[in-house]
Amino acid sequence: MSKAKLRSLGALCAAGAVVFGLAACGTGSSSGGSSKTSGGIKIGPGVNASTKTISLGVLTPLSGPVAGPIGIPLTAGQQTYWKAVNASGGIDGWKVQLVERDTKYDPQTQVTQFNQISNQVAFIGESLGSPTTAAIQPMLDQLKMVTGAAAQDSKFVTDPVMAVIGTPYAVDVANALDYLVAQKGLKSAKIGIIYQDDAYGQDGLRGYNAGLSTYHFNNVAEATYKVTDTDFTGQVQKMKSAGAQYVVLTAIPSAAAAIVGTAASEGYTPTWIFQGPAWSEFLMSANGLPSGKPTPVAKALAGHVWVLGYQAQWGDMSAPGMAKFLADTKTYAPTQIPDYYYMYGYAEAKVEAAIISKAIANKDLTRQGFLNAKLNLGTVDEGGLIPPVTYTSTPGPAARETAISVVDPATPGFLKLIRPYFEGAAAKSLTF
Amino acid sequence: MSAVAVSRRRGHRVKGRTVLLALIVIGAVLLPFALNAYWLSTAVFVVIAAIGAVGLGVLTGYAGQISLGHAFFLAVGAYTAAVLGGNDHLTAAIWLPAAGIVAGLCGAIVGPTALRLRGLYLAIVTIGLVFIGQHVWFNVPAISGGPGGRAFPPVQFGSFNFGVGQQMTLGGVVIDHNGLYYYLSLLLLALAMLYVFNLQRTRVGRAMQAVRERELPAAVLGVNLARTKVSAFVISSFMAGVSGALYASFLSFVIPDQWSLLLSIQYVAAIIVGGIGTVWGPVLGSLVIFALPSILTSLFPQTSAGGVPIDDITSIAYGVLIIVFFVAEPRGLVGLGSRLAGLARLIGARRRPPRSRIQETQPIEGEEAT
Repeated sequence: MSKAKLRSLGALCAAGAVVFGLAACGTGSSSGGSSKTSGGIKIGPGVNASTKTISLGVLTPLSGPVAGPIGIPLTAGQQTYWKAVNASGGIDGWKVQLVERDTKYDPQTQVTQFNQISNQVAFIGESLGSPTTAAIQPMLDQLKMVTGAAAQDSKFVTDPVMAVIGTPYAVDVANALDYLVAQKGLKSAKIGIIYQDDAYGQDGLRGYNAGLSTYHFNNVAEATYKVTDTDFTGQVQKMKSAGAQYVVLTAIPSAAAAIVGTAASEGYTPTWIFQGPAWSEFLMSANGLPSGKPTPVAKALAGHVWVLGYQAQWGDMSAPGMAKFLADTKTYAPTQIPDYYYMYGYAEAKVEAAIISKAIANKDLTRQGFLNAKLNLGTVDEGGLIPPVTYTSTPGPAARETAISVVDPATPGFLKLIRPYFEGAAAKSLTF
Repeated sequence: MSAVAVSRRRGHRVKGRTVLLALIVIGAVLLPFALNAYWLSTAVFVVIAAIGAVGLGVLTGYAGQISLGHAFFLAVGAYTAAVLGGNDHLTAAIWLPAAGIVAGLCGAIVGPTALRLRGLYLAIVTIGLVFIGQHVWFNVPAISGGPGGRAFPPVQFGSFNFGVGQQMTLGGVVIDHNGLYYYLSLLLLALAMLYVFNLQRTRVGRAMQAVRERELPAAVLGVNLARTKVSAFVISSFMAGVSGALYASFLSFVIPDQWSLLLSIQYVAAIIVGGIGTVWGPVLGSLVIFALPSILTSLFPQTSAGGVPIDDITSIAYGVLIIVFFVAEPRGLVGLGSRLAGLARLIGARRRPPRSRIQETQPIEGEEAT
């Protein structure tokens, strides 16, 4: 007994000594990454001057439930773009390679994986997800690493290091309400919203409320669900009994399909307004193509669903960048089916190529150099795949435009455009 | 068995154990210099989790109270840290202990339910805690940031900052952000283990073990059931609170979804795999359970071109480990260790002239499974 006491006392003393010793030392800021100069160009981490290669990190779910519908196609889109760039001689002779790591859409895994690659990459080409990206945000800020955040949350667009493309969720919903109330003049239409109980859903709701205070429409019901829910009878019943004719769905595809299916089985068929991430071509057929076996909800979706988005229709040749996009896809990802996350990844890589190009022109390939390039990028033409992306030193959303499509079983990709890009008054009123 | 033989053998074992302990401590202290950032941050998560697991070890391992509510206490600790450190900008010297104290108080409130419920019924009530907690975290943005989650403050004592990008130079050796968290967690883990090591030999600790074995005889022997169970809950929740606060602080951003039932189950799995009712069990178990995903991820790297579904493998591995250990070695990794040590002694004894072999194979401190 006395031995144990003695031992514990000793350990406590030692521990105390260590703590006080350390406290006396204090800490200091580490110098953020060493930089060298090679051939008149400043070189930072992840940039190899001898092979003229720039490495970009990709932190994305490659396993788990988010991988199949989002993580894998989005990354494939990025790969296609970079393969095409590298094959055509690179950006001013510089090749780009991706360092991919699986995050499983789990913040803890995201942190460990980021730690593993942070010294090997110039910046993060893709960080998918809101909670995951938020977990590494302090490190990104500290290391001044430009990050292609594949998350449409309003909160990322104000961080200088975050290169977010596309239109924030809130702006999409606000624009949809503009189309409904201001453009179609449905002032007395009964409108409701079902949103996911997380950051994504909150952002959709923010746009809904902005629309409400701008257009004063007839808001009849609001319902929420948890991402793990499988039964949506309560939410559907709420909309049905309130008599909602238009229902905004800020949801994920599995929930959206279940909600529409539940409503259809009860004979309730309002017009559903899907937030972009609620949509997936796999809701319509088993293989995501019009030729595939239709899913049980395909009938309920056809004609009754609008999809909000900022992306061009797959195969819409009126977009000047579509031909190149399809050609690249055919060459480098021949098995890729029409998929909007794939297109998103491609468009995201295109912005990053512009950042790299500007950094090369500035002869500064350090992290600070890439950040400076991003903050002074100006407007990048996306060839109509998505609205033009604008980055300036005052961060804000890259775009505030939305296009609306209707689900059509006959169209490749199942979406037929009914309203091209526009920006409504409520969208303008949203501040970031 | 003669007293002399026992004490001689104990002396032998104590010496062996001291050497082993010294090796482990030296290894743990030098570990950061052998690891890259990926493995070091994994190690930080493991050590932080081990603090919580040691806490659960007190409640389930020593006092025999099955709890699936550990995630709730981890969350209480984390959000205490967030409110005091993040909203009120207090030093970690305040919020770190406070995280433990507030979680401990919650444990004291919940503890009395264990007086009326036992075994599975208690487990179900504690599951309820997780869901009540999640309901609160999802709906009180002032504490948790709402469904979207919130940022957590880095550990900071005056000029001593553990935040990202901070580093400490000690005689030419640079310890970065990960290393700082590692040593802090390691220190706290050592203190927690030392506390439990001593606790099990005190009056309270022995009372807990008596309650675990059988409540009625324990009560007849004069053990105060109420006090014993509540104190087990308080000690366990305190450690969970500290662990949760450190975890959230190191992760820097947490969504309420993370404090789920699965997290509780991981902790239960850790103490089962490691060895119930031992000091080292929860630590070894944490090493297996919380490092497993990282190990599998690095063994089977995923690419967008395809690969092995790690998520599924990890879940399957948890299940298989729990079943295998329950069936084959209910005393967990610690039991496996002592079995190996026994085997080694047996072989050693065979070489030497035979002594009383029966004594050699008898476990001395091994506990029966509960």
